[in-house]
Amino acid sequence: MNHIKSIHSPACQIGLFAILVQGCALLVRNSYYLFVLNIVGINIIVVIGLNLLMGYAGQISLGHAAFYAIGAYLSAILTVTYGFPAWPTLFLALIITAGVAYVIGIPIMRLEGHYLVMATLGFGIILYIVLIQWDDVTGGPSGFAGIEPLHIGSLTFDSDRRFCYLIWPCVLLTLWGSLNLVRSRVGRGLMALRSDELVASCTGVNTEGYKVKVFVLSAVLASLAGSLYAHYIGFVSPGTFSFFYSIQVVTMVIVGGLGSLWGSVLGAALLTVLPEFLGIFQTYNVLMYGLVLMVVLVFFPEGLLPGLWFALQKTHRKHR
Amino acid sequence: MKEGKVILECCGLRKRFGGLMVLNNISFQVPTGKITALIGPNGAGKTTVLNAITGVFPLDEGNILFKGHSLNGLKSFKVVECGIARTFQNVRIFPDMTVLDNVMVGCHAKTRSGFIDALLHLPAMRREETAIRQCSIEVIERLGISEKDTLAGSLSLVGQKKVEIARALASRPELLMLDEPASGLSGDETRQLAEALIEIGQEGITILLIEHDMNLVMGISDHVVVLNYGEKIADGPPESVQKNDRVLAAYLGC
Repeated sequence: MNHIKSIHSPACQIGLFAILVQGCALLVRNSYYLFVLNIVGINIIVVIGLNLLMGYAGQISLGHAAFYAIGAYLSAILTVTYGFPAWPTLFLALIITAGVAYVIGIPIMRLEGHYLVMATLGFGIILYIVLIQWDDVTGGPSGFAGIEPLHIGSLTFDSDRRFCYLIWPCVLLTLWGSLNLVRSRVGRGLMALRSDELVASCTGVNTEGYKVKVFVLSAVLASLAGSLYAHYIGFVSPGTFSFFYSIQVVTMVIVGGLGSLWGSVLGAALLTVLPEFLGIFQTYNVLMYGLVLMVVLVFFPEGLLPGLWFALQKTHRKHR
Repeated sequence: MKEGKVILECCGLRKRFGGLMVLNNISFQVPTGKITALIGPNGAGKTTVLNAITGVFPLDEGNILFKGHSLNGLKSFKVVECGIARTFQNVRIFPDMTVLDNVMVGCHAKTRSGFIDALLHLPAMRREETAIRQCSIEVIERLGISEKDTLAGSLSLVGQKKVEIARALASRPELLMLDEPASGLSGDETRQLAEALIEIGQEGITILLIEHDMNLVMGISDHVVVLNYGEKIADGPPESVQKNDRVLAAYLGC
């Protein structure tokens, strides 16, 4: 019984996961695969944040690319144009994103369902237009280059392998914090809110406050991923932060499983890696991508990880 | 009602939905430590009174005092923090959460730890978490719920009603408001419910009961308030209310 319990503790799960990732990173010799592994890590951070908002609090955002962009562009512009130091800028970007999310979150989080989707979508599109039109600051459609890699002391995260040792600890930390959150008083409040907002409020949950706070938290995580992305790639352009990225992360959340953080890890990994493997289908790769999505959602409507878990339990019961 | 203290006082409540006057100048008092029943035919405005007290919607006019403090304009979660808990007419538990989690949500009003404490898994938050769990398990055991780890949505109606009451009790309320707890229960189950309510009352929790089952109401309440078409038509001890002509007319149509 004791060791079963310990498997359920976040710290233990994350430890096992860290060993797995470390194993992957060591086995992979090809730097392109390491690059994909790093992008998986960046996406996981965004997707976990979005899952806290969508899967736990039940609020949909189709504008998360905007917060990802705010982090990336603030890091880029402030360090290159104004010569700010990289790490403080990253934290400044987190604070600014939190402020922006808080200010727009208060009116937006009063909306429900389709209206909330429209509002977040609108915010994403407005920010995208700003990135393109404000070209003397953002570099416009051609992008913004020359962002230096991050470094700690003399260790510079300038290669794919080195960046791996920066991004994955961030992923593990995000995962640890989020697993703690969903298993806490606040996590239960969020789930109650998703289940029945009126009743949650009459049970003592500050539903409006929670919605805004979880929106801010998920925006901050997107911003963190954005800053790391900017320093890793060294170049940002509006195309990365378009509406399609918002859709992509929402898809990752849904494929992995709403309300399943490990599902988000799986969803982000699968949908980031899949297009790379589908290269073998050449012209048909987009078609295959769509097909895989459809198959997953038809057979595992509750998401890949919860679906597989359920199937596993069913066969286990049959064998007993 | 001069003797004894009053925990909740409603003065001149008015509420209009479109052209319909749902509450028309309703005033009544809930004495501390007693079981008060709020009864009336369907559409009399009983649940509207409950919703007004818990801040689900604002009143057009009137004042609600809880232990002398006005509840007007307070958000629902603040009302719970003041010490008022409620259940709903058609059982409304969180079906996709376990029984224990449902009840643990009920502890929200009396606990503090927030996002930062939870994200960082701070010791204060872990201590609070243990206390929440302990308190919830106590309430669950006291109400005789045996399956605390099953999903609340998979329980029978009786089970779900118990979970709802347990969730309300977990907030350690001074005033517990129950909206038709006996509807859909068999005679035996209603008797068990009555016993449980009397027991809760003996612990010093004031109860405001909305109910259709007259045997239950007359059997356990100390004080009865009767509404009809948004107006109060009677108010007093059960024996006198039962003999009231207007009440008989409202219920029997004669």
